[in-house]
Amino acid sequence: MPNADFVRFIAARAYEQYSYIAAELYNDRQLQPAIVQYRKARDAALRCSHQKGAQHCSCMIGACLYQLGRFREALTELSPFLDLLVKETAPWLRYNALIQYIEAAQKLPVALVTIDRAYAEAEQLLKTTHNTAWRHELLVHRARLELARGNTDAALSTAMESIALKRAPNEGGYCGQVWDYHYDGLVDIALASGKPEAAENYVNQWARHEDQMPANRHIRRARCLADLRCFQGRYAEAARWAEIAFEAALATDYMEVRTAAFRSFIRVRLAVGDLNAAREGLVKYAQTLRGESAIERYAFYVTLGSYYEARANIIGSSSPGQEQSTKGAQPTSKAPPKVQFTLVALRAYRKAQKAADKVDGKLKCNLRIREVTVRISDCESILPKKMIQGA
Amino acid sequence: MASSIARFSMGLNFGGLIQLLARHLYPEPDVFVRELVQNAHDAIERRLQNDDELAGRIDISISRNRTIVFRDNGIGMSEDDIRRFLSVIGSSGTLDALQKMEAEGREGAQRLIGQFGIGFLSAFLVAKRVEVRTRKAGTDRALRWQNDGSLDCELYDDEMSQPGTEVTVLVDDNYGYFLDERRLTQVIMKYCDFIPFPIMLNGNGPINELDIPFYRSHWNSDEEKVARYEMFVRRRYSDTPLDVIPVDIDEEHSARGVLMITDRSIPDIQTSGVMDILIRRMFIKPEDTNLLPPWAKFVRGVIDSPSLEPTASRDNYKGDHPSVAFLSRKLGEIIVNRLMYLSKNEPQRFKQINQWHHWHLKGMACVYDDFFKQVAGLLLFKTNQGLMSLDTYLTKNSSRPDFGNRAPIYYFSHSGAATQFKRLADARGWTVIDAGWIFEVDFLRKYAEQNPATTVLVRLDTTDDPLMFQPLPVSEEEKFRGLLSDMQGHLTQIGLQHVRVRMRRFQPPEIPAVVLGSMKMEQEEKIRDILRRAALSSSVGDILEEVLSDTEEAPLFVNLNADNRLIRKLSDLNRQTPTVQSILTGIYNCAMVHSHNLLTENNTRVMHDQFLELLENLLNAQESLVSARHELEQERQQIIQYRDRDSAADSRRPEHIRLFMMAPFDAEYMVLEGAIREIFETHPYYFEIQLARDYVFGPSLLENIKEHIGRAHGFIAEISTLNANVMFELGAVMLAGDDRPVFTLRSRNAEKDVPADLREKLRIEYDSVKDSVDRLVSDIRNGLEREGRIIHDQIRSLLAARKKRFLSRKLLESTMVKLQPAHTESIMRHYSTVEDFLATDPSLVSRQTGVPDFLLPAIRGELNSKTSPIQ
Repeated sequence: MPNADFVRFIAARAYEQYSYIAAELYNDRQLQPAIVQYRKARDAALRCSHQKGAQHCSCMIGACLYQLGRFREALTELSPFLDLLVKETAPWLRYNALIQYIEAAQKLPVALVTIDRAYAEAEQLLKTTHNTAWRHELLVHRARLELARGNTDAALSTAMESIALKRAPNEGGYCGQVWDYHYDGLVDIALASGKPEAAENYVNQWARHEDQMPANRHIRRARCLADLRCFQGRYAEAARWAEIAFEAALATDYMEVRTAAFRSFIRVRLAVGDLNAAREGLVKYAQTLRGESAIERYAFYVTLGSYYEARANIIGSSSPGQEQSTKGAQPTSKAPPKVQFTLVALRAYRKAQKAADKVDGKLKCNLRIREVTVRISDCESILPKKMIQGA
Repeated sequence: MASSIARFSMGLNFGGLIQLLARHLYPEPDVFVRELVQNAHDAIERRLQNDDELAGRIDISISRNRTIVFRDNGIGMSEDDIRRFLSVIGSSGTLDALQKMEAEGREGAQRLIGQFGIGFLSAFLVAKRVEVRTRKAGTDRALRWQNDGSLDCELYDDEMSQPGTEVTVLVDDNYGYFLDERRLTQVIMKYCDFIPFPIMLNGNGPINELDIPFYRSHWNSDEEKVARYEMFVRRRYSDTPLDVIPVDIDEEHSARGVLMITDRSIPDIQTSGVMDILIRRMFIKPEDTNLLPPWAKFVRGVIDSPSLEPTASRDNYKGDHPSVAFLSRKLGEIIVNRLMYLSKNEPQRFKQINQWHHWHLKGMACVYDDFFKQVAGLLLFKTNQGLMSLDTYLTKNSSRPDFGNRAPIYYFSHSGAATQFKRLADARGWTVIDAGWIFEVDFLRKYAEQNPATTVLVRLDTTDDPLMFQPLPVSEEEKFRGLLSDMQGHLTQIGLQHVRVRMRRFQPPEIPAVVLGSMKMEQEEKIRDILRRAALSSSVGDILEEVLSDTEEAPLFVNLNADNRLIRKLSDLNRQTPTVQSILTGIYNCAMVHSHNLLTENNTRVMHDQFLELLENLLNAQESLVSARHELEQERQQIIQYRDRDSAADSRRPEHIRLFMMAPFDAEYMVLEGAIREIFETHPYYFEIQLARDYVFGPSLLENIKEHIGRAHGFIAEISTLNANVMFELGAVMLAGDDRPVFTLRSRNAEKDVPADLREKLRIEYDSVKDSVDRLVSDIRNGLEREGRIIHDQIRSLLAARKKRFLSRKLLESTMVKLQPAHTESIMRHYSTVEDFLATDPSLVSRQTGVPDFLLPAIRGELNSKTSPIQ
């Protein structure tokens, strides 16, 4: 029988190796394999009584699960860090877990009042542990929350404050979110505010900041550029950037990054009238999507509806010979194809509307409901009454 | 470097220092009893070194002048001892003696307790003044020393008859409660129960336990040892021991004592096992929580270890001493070894301990790897074959090729599903673990993780295990497709959108359906578990709560059993009827009852509503049944009534044969009536022909007809013109449905066709009602007779049934005797049959009828000759 010290020694070595591999995989955003390695590392850490190591692994597993869109599992994994009875949890771990709770809560989303209380708790934690320098991470999420509610001004000012704090020299040793996360948020906010010049400026600033974990940087940046160029009407460039983002996104497990890239790609392709490519993007998008987040569900169904609306429009404006050139499901009933595709689009928008009701209801806004209502009424103006009722 | 400007000693407030030392050294004032008794014990031990026949004894007495006296017959002190040890704080006579004894290799050294020389100081915790009288063994000189807590002490010569020491403590007013005998007894028992010399209080006692089992080295038998240990534990502790474990460690560090597995409920996982700690028989610390291994929460006990090093205050031991880790490990080994012993040799007791402390044992095993390794195979689990350990369990199920020939550990995680899974496992011959108690699933997971090469965990309540629930071949599944689709649709319709129905084959065939959860449900369970167990801040807890409430209900799978008779029947039925749909819901509900842990608010509502619906259906069915019974009863009563009426009608029928003739009332039918009477009322028939108009039985026509029909043996109906009255009466006759014959008369010239039902009746044809009587008689008689013989069966059977012959007008008028019409009427009124007439005395006939008696013989003679039996 090997003695206990020897076993601990071997376990410590195993922890080092597994956690190294796991970190590499995580940095490369290969999240599924990273979870497997972090679990092995955690077991090894427990065998050699390396409590901090085990905690780090659990925290990283939680982060991986969150990024994979497995929010409920992520919350389960992170809960021990927030257990008030467990006194030995390091403040940064508790803060990190709380941040990820907030992220998940925003993504699902839960009620605004609950999210606000979690923010207040995080602020309190930073105050009591004298780590207010870490606040930039809290603010960057707050900015995204404001954006999700359609409050672009509030989103912009919060994001600016966040990035200012991030730039400050004393971070208290806590890195928080990478620059990419800050900047792609800023580009989104600028575009949502209808300020492409500001967005251009942020894209340029972004290039000057190096991150330690640049795995998804080019995806985020290419996606932002695709959206920006599309906004500017520079479709050829937009298509090129969207293609880059799309191809790169296929290699990452990070759901949020991936779906954003897919959406951009589809949007640009629809804008240039390339429905076959848009359809391919849509297939990948559907395969990626996990249904836990109502925000993601909403975005998907709106994209789906846009695709079918675009098909209906193209068929409506083309000759019968051209209609057959597009791949994918063809209408099967006796109704004209334009009507059929509009009907499918309407169904997608109705599903989006269901998600919108939930999201806007929870976040106390009407951004999505407004958008989807317009789309639905556009569809309904084309369809016969009977069809609308049966849809 | 500067030179000092003065050199002097620091001042000392001795009284204050003594109080300060005493109060900060000792946490409780009652320790002065422990310290003074311990000094007495050491003095006796030292004297025993030279006088092994000495009966050591300690006397404590409370006197009226607020003093407590501690008296021993130990070695006593000389003046030198008093000056060197008693009067110098930190100088210990016992330590001095101990060192000498150890140097000389004398055995008693380890029994001495004192070593710091400060125990006596504790007396000043409660004393205003302390007086010591002593006489050293082997000398005659006695001395008296006294001190009132100041720097100054006084020494006097004194008188004592025996060697020993007497310490008198004059108790301060604030500590008067120590002068209470009961209180002092408690203190003595708390600290001095293990002193090997009798302690007498006010002359009574001994009040301490002298026969401590773990200090004994010899036992007459194992039974005696066990009994003695158990008695000791029961006396010392209020809780009942589930098991008593003697401790005798004699290695690099030594300890003696006893552990017990308590029956005291241990409220939560944060508690610890507790030990009373002694060092060389002196009580050091009650309810210590550090010496027992952290997993031993269900254990308490007492241990005396000379290896432990007491702190100066002697209310604790030094935690960093190597003996502590050593003893902790040894105690753990002793407990585990005992559990192993019990599992093999005393299974009943082991079972009891498992049941009592199941969640501590399993919970601790989950937390502490070393404990887990030792007991993983021993702890008991509930299974469908009773309680059993994992070691035993793994011999039960055979390994499975689909799991790489590893042994499966089948389990389900909710006791609510126990009935269902036990039945399923029984039917397959599997042994399945009910891991519904807290920590059991974690325990099993840990076990499987640590034995990945040999075991594999199979959770049955979320797994559609193909060995237990065999999928159907496609051809067979096709057969049940309709049922699956209907049941799925029906369950969705009643609000169970999250239920998915599948077709499988499983044992036993008596179970029609089984409900299984899903992995998503497991995730939800985890969140619920976190909410239940972890102390989360309200905002974090709310996020989880909201996530849980927003989650669409996890799918629930219902496996239908293709081998079940009910399911097979349902697959062949029309399932769109309310009753069958209610049965579909019922099947789902039955499965839920079998696995009631899965009952959610929605499920419960469906079950409740379905039960109500079922009850209402049952009630409706019961009402229908009652109504049907009522109708049946009415029908039965009617039948009885009909039968009664029929039998009443039978009784109303005369002994002669009566034929009810139904003919139109028109005058033209009078000839036909005469012809019929001519035939039937005379030879050979002698039947009575009766028409509705002949007798009136009731005010209504219908009643009249009914009565006539009831009284007749047969019927003759004239149907040539299909007269409405005749047809009505004929209908009534035929509806009665009995076997009385019906003859129809029909003119050959009749134009209207006969209804089909009448065609089979005996029909007698004649030419026309306008024919003469003779012609009609001839026609009709030809229809009944051939060559004087009656050819028709129904007529023959009527004749056979005839008991008497009807005495008709025709018959009477056909005699040679010409009777006056009044006489004929009178005879017919009094006698309806020939037999009655002939049987009556002629004189009586004459009186009754008024017929002259001389006519009677002739009439009788004629009737006799005319009514000879028919051929």
